[in-house]
Amino acid sequence: MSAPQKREIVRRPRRGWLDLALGELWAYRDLLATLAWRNLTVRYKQSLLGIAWAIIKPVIQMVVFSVVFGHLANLPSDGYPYPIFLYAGLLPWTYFTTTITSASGSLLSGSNMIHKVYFPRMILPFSYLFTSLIDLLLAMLVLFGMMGWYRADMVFSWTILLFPLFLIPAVVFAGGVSLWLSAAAARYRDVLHLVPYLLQLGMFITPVVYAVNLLPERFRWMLQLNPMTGVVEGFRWSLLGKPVDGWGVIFAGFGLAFVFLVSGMIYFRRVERTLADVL
Amino acid sequence: MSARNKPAIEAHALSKEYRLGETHRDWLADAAALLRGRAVQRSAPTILRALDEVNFTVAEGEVFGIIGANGAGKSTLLKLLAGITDPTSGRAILRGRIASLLEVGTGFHPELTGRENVFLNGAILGMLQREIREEYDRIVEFSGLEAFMDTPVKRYSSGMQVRLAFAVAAHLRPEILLIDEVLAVGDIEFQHKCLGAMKEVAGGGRTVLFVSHNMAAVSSLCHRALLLRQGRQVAIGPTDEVIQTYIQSTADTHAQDAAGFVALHERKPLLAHSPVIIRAARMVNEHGEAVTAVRMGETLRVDVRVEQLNQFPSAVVGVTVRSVFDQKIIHFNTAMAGGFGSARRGAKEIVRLEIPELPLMAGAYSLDLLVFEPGVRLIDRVDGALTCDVIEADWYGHGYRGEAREGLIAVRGECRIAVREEN
Repeated sequence: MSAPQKREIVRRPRRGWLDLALGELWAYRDLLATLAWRNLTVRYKQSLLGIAWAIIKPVIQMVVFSVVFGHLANLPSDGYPYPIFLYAGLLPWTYFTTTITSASGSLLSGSNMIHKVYFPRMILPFSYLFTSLIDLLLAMLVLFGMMGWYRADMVFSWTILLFPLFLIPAVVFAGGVSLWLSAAAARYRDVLHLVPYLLQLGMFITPVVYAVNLLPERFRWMLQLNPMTGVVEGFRWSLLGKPVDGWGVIFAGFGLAFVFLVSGMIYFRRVERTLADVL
Repeated sequence: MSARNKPAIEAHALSKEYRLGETHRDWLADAAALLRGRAVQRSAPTILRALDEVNFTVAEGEVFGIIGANGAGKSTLLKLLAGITDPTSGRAILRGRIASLLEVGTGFHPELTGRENVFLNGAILGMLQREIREEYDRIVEFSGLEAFMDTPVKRYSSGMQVRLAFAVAAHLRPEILLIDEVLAVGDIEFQHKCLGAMKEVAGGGRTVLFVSHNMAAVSSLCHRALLLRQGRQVAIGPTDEVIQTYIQSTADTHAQDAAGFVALHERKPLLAHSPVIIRAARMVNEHGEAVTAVRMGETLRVDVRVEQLNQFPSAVVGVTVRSVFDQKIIHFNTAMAGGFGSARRGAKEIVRLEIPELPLMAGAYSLDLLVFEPGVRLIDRVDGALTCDVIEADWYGHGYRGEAREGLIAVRGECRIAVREEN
C-alpha cells in the first residue's frame, strides 16, 4: 500500500481515557500562538495606556499591599525590605490568578469557535498561559529596577539566572488547574462563581504577603506542598538570595503540579468528547 | 490498492444521537423534593437520532452536495465529518487536509482590525501564519476592502464583515473542504463572486462537500448529491435526480388528517409567551377538497388553521410562494385582500386565502405561511409548510404548455409580424 503524505483521519466514537492527543496539540501550535496574541491585543485595545497596564497593575497592588500588610499588619519578610520581598512573590502569584481567571471561562467565551471549527480544545485555556506570561515578563522589569534601588541593602548572586526555571512549575500548575476548571465550567457554570473565592483562599495558603516562618515549623510542609509556594520561594531564592529550607517538600509540590496537569488533561479529554453538544 | 483510487471521504453507518431534556438537572429542586418526602421527578431522556446510519463515499476531486429540509441532519453530518462532535456509532474516514466552513467569520473579534482578523480567522480555519502572509494581498484584493484593513471590525457593516470572512475562506488550501450555507449572505454581486470562487475551488481538484438550501447553487456546483430526511438517507446519485426526489418528497414529510390538513403545530413558538398560532394548513380546490396541485392559471386556495389569532387584532396572515431555487415569487396576505372587516372572531379559526388566476408556469413550488403585524413584528412563520405542484394546462388556449424551466411567471400576450422585409 502506498499512501503518499495523505493524512488519513478517522472519526468514530471515542473510547478509552489515555489518549491525550499531544501530537495534535503540537500540530496546532500556530493557532495557540495566534490566540495568545489575540488575548493580549484584545485586552489592551482602546485603552490609553495600552500594554503599560501590565506594569501598572502589579505596581499598584504592591504599593497597597506594602502599606496594609507590611506597615499596618507588620507581617514578617525574612529581614528583606518588604516591598521587594512582596513583589518577588506577587509576580508569580499574579501570573497564576490572571491565567486561572481568564482560562476557566475560555471554553464558554470561545463556544462560537467550538461549534464551528475543529481544533484541539485544550488550545483555548492554554492560550492564556502564554498571554499572562508576557504580562509577567514585562512586570519583571519593575523588579529589576527595584533590585537596583535596594542594591545597598542586599547581596545578589549568580542564582538570578535561574529564575526562569521556576516559571516551569508555575506554567505546569496553572495549566493543570485551568484544564480542570475550564472543563468543569463548560458543564457546570457554578464553577465560574467559585473561582474568585478559590483564588482568594489560594493567596492565603501561599506565602505571598508573609514569610513561611510565620507558621510553626511542623505545619510548614503543608504550605510547601502547594506548588505555588515552591514557585514563590524559588523566585525569592533566585532573585533575592533568600535561603529556603525544605527543598524536598517543594519539589514534591512541583510533582503535584505535574499530577494536576496530567489528570487535568485526562478529565479535559473526557469532557471534550461532548463539548460541542453541552455548550 | 493505491492511494489514488481510495475515496477522499467514506462514511460507514454514521449515526449521531442527542439526548434531549437532561442537560442540567436542577439538584436544588431535587433536594427540596426529597426533603418534603417526595420522589424526585426525572423524566427519561428523549433520544433524538439526528443521523441514522448514513453511508456514502466521495471520490477525490468530486463536488458532493447534501440536501434536505431543515432538521434533516445536514449540519450534523458536516459537524461529524469536521470533527466538531463525535459520532455515536459508525465511522467516517477522510483522506487529506480538511477545512470546514460552517459559518463565515468564525472567531472574528470586533475589537481587532481587519488585518488582525485575517490572521486570526486564517489560523482558526487551519492556515499556518506563513501561508496567511503569502496569501494576504490576494485576500485583501478579493474582499475589496483595501482601505479598511486598519479599522476595527466592529466599525464594519455586516456586509463588509462577510466579504472579509469569505475572502479568507476562499484562500484556504485544503484537500477536503466542508461548506455549509455560505452563499446565503451578502449582496447579489458578492454572492456571484462567492459562487465563482466556489467553482474555482471545485475545479481545482479539491474534494468539496457542500450543504445548501439553494438548489440552484447545488445543481450548478455538485456532481452528485445526497438527500437526507429526518436523519435518514433517502437518495444518493446524480444531482438533478436527487433534487427531483427532494421536491417530490417534501409533500409527504408532514402528517395529514382526514380533511387533508397538514399538521404544523409541533414547533417552538416564535414569540415567547405566545402559543404556536399556525396549527395546520391545506390546499383546496373549488369544491373544498384537499389537493396538492393546482392547474396553471386557476385559483390557488390555501386554508390556514390558526389558534389565538384573535389576540393580535392587527395581525395579517400571508402566504409566500417559493420556487425550487428558494426565490420568493409571490406574496399575498389578508391585508392585501382588505382584511376581515367586522367578521366575528374566535380562538380557533380557519383563514382562507385565494389567489385567482395563479400566474405561475408548470412546476413545483413551496408555500411559506406567516402571521405578522405589518412593519412591527413577525408573530409566526412556517417555511415550506405546503408543497404546490402547478400542473400544465392549456392556459394560453393555443395548445402550448409552459414549464417552470422556461420562466416562472406565466403571462399572456400577443404577437404579430410588425415589419416584413421584401426578399
